[in-house]
Amino acid sequence: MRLEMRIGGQSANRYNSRIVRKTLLAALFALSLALSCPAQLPSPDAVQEFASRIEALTGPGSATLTATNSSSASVEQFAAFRKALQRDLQDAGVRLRQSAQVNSDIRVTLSENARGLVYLAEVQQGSEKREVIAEAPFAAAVVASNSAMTLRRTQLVSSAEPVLDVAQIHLANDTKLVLLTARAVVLYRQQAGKWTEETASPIPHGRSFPLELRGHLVPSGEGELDAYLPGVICQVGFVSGFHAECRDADDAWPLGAQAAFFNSSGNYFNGLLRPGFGGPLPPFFSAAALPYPGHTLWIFNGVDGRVRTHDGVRPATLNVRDWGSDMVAVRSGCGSGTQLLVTALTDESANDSLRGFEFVERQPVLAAPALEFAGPIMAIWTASDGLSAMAVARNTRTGNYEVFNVTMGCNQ
Amino acid sequence: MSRWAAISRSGAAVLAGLLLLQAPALGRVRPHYGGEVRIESSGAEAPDFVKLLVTETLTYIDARGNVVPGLATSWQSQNGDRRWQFRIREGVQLHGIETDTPVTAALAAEAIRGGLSRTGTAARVHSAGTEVTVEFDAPMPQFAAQLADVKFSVAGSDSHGIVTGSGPYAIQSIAGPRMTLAANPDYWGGRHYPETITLLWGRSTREQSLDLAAKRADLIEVPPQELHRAQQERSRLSKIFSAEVVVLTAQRGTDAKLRQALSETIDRAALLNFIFQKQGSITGALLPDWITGYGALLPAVHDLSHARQLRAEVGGRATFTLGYDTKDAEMQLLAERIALNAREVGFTLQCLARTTDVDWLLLRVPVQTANPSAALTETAQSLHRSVELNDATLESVFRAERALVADYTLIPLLHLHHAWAASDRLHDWSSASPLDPLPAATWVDNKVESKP
Repeated sequence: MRLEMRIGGQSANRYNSRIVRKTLLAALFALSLALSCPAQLPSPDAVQEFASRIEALTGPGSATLTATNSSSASVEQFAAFRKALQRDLQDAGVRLRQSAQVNSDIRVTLSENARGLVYLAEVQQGSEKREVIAEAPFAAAVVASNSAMTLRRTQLVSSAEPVLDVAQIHLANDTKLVLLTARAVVLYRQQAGKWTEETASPIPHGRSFPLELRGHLVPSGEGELDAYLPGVICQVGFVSGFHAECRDADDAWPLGAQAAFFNSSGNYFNGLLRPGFGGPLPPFFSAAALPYPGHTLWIFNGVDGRVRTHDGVRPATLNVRDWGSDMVAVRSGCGSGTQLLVTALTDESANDSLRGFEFVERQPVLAAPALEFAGPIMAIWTASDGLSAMAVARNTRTGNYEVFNVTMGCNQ
Repeated sequence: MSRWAAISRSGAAVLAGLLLLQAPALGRVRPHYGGEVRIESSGAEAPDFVKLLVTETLTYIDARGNVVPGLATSWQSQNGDRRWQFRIREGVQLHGIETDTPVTAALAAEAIRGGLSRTGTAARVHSAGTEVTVEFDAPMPQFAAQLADVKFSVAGSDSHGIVTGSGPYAIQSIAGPRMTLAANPDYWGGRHYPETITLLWGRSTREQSLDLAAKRADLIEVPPQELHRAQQERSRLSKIFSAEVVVLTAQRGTDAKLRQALSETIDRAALLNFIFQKQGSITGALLPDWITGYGALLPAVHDLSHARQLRAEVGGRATFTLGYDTKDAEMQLLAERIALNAREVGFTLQCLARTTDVDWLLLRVPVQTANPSAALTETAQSLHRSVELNDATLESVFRAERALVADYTLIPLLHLHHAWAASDRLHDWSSASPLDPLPAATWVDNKVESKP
């Protein structure tokens, strides 16, 4: 897309009105970000710095400004960028004019490369032409959730490193968020409505981790968690200060009333369960338990692509063909009380989705249509309280790992 | 002759793989271990991405062009980027050798010396403990990015003289232009999913295409002139982007105005449309826009009247020879069309199917990295030029690139699109690109039909 606009400016207003205008434009800038999809723009600060570098070449004289969009930014985003740049140039003392009687001609191009947006400016003064180039990494895309859906999500944090599981810990007067990563157990605290990293405790491990690393956080007592990774277990404590003590171990990972042994050089459970069902099951990627009167129906999502159930007596195979590898049970209180959230099947699309299923006569029935994510869901586990799920999706645009709390809403 | 080329020619050739430390683009079906990926390529030796599956480099370039740790866990520069220190990852072994051979700082230093000698760059390289120090006389802000190139890979050889490395795959066998790699179960970055990779090189585009259609190959090259057809046939393609630049290079001294006039006579759009079916873009820059984003500042100029004016200012005779690779049919067509353009403003270009003893040479230069500073350095080296960067910022790369093309001894013409095509057996392949056709996340579905 190529869009060119030639704009002229007015002389700078008084300082106070400038601040009001700046605030409004910043709000407009942010709004345009929030309402539009992926073609993300950077923070207004990046535009301001770019403007000040242009001003360093032009000086405070008069100038024309021509702006061209060669990026994937939408018309609205580009307009917001242009307005912000115009404002910042004027604030820096550049008097924008449309006439030819000016000191400088500024030609700005909004471009992009593999890392993000690129701002290009050519400043022509007489026969001399000089350039300013600035890079602005892609900001996180804002993907609006479809509020009409039964499944809802709330983004908690965005992390540059892969997140394996997330848990909320309620301490005496505080609530913390714990992220399990390959590197460390990371503690987040809430500050002004946002989760921010507070501290981290590294995870030493003797053996190499597998390529697709998985991990799970399990509450182990008052103010304590166990972190399970392939071949490693960490005890995470909060009461006498945040700490994680790790050891090499191949103990079974707790999955509700069962514990399953994880293949420490792979990405799946090997099928051995404690207490189990009288014999090993085929290897599986994920398992979930649905309460039934008098028993529990276990569902296993096999490495071979088959989804199996076991009620403690009889195994069975479900006739499903479009499920992904991951699923969790969520005690929503809606419908039968507990639903199964399942990832999508295909790996061809960049986006992933979660669907909710009820079980009627031991067969899955779609209960909640797909909730889309802006990238593959890399991990999903039932939250510590069992009422919701913690999902980690890798945003394909930014590369960041976005952590969501996913709930099932009733009365949709 | 490089060590890799030598190995390839002696039939003991090479191997492979690019470990991107950026997180893999996994899909929703979790990856399965096992299976075989069958790759075919056209070159005279194994492609670099396959070589980097066997040997590794101290750094890697991720898909966004960022420098990330490889065999070096950290690095720092001092003294205005003249002195670089790298800390080598501990506990990494070379595979395929009976006795344990750890990747040491001394081995890494040897690899750096080898790479630098191939680029003709003078430096003092020392190793001590787990650290390697490299000292240059001039600033080398791009050095960490440059180290990701295969010529800096850390390698050894086994008792049979076969290259071994620390990568996710080890060479299992080599027979003529066929090589089999086996997964390294102890790979420090985590075992890769396919159990084996077989590579068949020296295959024509048509042979590759037939093998993919007959389910005898899983991954084949799609050159620019085949892209349109592949898209029409709805082949399963990787990301498509410019991975090659076509450059006209002055081999002998000529008047600068004549060079500029020649540049401005060339109708790049016609070259792209008729010879490469619009699979690329015209350019006045060496590096593609997807790497730099500043292509708008180095536009391709086609201005016949200005070219005639420049030509008239110089006057005299303007007869030159224009060489191209004898085996490259597209370059021959390109050369002939350029000669036709040049005739319009009074040049006589004699097209010759040779690459030496010519006034101008038409070259295709592959783009091998997404990092701007490393890409410019490597492209310049391929064109026998050197680059001086003040720092590794994009603006500094732009100034260095502009300096390279400013005197018209290098005339960038086209950026050509490339891609790879894959069979249905490959999963989690959506992040594949011309620079990384086999991402670490890719796995094989053995349930999908394949033929031997």
